[in-house]
Amino acid sequence: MQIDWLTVSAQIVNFLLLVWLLKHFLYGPVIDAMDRRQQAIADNIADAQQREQTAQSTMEKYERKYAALEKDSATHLQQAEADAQQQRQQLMTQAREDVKQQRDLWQHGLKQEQQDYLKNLRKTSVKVIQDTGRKVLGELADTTLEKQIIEVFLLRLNKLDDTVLQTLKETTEVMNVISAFELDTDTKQKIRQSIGDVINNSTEIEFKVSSDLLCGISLQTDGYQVDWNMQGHLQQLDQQLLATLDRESESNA
Amino acid sequence: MSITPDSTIYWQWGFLHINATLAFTWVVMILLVGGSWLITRKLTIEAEIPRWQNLLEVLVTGIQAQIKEVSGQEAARYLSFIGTLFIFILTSNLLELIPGFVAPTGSLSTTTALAISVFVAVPLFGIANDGVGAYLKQYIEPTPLMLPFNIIGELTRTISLAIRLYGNIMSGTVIVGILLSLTPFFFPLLMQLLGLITGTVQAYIFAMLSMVYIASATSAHEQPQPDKIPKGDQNG
Repeated sequence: MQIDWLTVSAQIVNFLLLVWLLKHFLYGPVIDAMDRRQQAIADNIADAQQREQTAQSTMEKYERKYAALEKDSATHLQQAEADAQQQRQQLMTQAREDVKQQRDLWQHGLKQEQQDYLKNLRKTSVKVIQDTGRKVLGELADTTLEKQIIEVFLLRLNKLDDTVLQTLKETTEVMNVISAFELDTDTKQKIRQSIGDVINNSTEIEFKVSSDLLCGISLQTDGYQVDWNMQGHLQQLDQQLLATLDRESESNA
Repeated sequence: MSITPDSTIYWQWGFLHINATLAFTWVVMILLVGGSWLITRKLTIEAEIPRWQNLLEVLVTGIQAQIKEVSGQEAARYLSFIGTLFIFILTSNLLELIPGFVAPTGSLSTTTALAISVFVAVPLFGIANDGVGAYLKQYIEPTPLMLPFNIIGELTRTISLAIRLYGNIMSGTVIVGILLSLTPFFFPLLMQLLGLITGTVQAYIFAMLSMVYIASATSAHEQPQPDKIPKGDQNG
């Protein structure tokens, strides 16, 4: 076991040199790199925490906004529902009114049509009845409808009750004989004579023609009237036709 | 068979000579410094690091952790000294496996040089840490009567440090040599494997004992660490 002191000295120098070299090439750079990496990691973590905080606050902000929006939307929805309900009511009312108006209009039109129809029917009926009566009378009794009407009229004049007869006798008013057709002179003379016979009055007699009477003849004076015409029969026909039409429309509806 | 590589002289001029100890020390130094330079010239601070950088970082942080655990102080101040002791001894011991390589640590001159370095470093670190007065005061504690014993303690532990490492490494080499002549195949291999463990353990023990000595000189004002640093001789 020997110690070479020269080698020992050289080894001490070598060792100290190695310490210096390794400090320079190994420990320094490695520790520096680790420190820098640690710093970078710390920076990253701090940065991440910062971001997380920002994200958290942003999230909370948006959550609050979302809650407010939800609340608002609920309110708006309720408002919209109320508005819609009101609008619906208005529209329903409007529609009902419209329908009622249309129905009234339609009913009015229908009534008008009925009346027009009846009017036409009446005219046609009168014409048919007149033609028929004229034809029947002509064929059976060798007479005219007008003549027969006047006969009936004169017959009624002769059968007046006493009260009416007395009133007619005492009147000073002009007596109007209104007929639906033109009377010839003979007929007028005959009527004049019959009136004179029955009433025995010297009052004036005027003859007039009126289409209002439809088919008939009438004596009018001082609020009294003696007549024969088809008005009554036609009214009866009207009533029957109306009843039939009403039944038809009800069954259609 | 030569007991010490000091006796293998490669070059001589007068009393100056270059023996195997010095030559292989330079080889180790070149390997360590060159390797460190190659690796550390392109260090990265990214999360993904090269494996060699990872090796160095593991090594450095491991040494730091050991220093901190033994001394209870910040490792930065002692890292260069203790770390170099450990790395140099470890590399020398492990390279001995290579045929033809002679471990410089198998020379008593090398271990003496390392022990002297520690012997000088202990008061230097102590003075740097506490000041001259406080450091010298340790020698007359608990009473001035203990001064000679404290001085003898300092010297003997330095000698023991040197001889322990030398003995272990040299004996390993010698045992392999003897066994090689007796049973040429099997036992030398086992002894080489054992030498790997012994070399590593010796490097660790030498470095840590040095740290303990330095710590005992500098921890006068620090917290005592009775659990980790038993007083007296810490024979490995």
